[in-house]
Amino acid sequence: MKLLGFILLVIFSSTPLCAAQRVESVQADFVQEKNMAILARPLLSTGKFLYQAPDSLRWEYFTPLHSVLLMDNGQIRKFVKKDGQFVEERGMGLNAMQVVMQEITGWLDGDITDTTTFLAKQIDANRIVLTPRKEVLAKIISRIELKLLDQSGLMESVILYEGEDSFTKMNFSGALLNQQIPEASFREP
Amino acid sequence: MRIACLFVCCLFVSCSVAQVPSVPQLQRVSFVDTKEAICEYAFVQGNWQFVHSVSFVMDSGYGATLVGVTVLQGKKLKTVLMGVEGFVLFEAEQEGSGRVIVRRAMPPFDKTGFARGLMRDVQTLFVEPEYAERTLAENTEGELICRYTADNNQVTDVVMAQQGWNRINLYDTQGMLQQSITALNYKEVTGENIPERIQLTTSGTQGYTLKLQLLSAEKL
Repeated sequence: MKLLGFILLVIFSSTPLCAAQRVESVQADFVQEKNMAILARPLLSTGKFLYQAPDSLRWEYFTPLHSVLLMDNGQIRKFVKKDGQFVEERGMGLNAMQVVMQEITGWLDGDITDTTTFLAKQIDANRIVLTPRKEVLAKIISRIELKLLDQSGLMESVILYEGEDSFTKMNFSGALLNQQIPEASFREP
Repeated sequence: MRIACLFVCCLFVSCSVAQVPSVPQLQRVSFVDTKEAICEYAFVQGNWQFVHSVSFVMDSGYGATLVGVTVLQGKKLKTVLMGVEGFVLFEAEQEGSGRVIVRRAMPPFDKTGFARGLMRDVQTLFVEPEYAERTLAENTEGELICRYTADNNQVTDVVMAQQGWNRINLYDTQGMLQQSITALNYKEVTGENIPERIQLTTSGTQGYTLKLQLLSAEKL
């Protein structure tokens, strides 16, 4: 959870690197495809995300399991729908997440190449590859490939490589840039 | 008149007799076949990929919801635990010989014994136990039980209840209850009955409870 949030904030907050227009907010639908050698079939998830600069994020999965990750003013909360109601999960690694969040705040106004976490390399006009600087993170994510849309600040897809035979691809659609997003979206599931 | 009444009565009686069902013909089956059929009903046959939401609660109160993937391929068991967002926290494979190969284990799933324990849980859930002896009997509540006794005298009882649920009780070699699994809300998928909800409770000082909700079941 924390890693995804971390990466998404990196991705969205860093879009000024490749965009002429400053990103104040982004929202889009996504389809996530999880591929692993061990799986006989890829796992598909669908959802929607909302991002508001500088550090607010709502990352919501509708299927197969309805869950919401909220980040707002440095606070991170996660909810999973059980028996028709959202239940907050408080157990897993929240302290570690706060550490990660502190690191994120150093990035938010910056250029992606300035981060101490990832090295960014522009492959071509629409593709950037992020490689973790630290071995600890590299054990979890070996690299991230961002494919950008021609329109500034928006992405077509993100591929997170966990290893050679394990990756998660997110394809975005219906993206809206710099539209008003109600503040409550980042506070309540 | 009396003859007419008698005729009507006879007609009525004969009509009534015709409506009573006769004793149905039964097909003789061997006891062994019946036992096999009943006992194996609790376990899926063939190759499958299951995806569950897995909510676990430790005795300490610590808990979380993960996505668990189980792939059954012949004698091989593969399992993946990942966050709801898709990051793999644990990935392992158990060969037919019982050897466990851990491909990925992130904290806190990298603790000694976790992999073997998880694979044992998965095996208990989905695979019919190896046994030296299998018996079919009733308990005092009248529930049908398949009792699997292994070479080392470890007992696994599969309680076949009638109201759409089964329970698997795993005892250690001392006869103490080690694990209890309840499977509920069976639904048919590709001709097999698959439980939509499973609860696994492990006893002991590091006891925990796993609650699994079926997200998808696919025959391979």
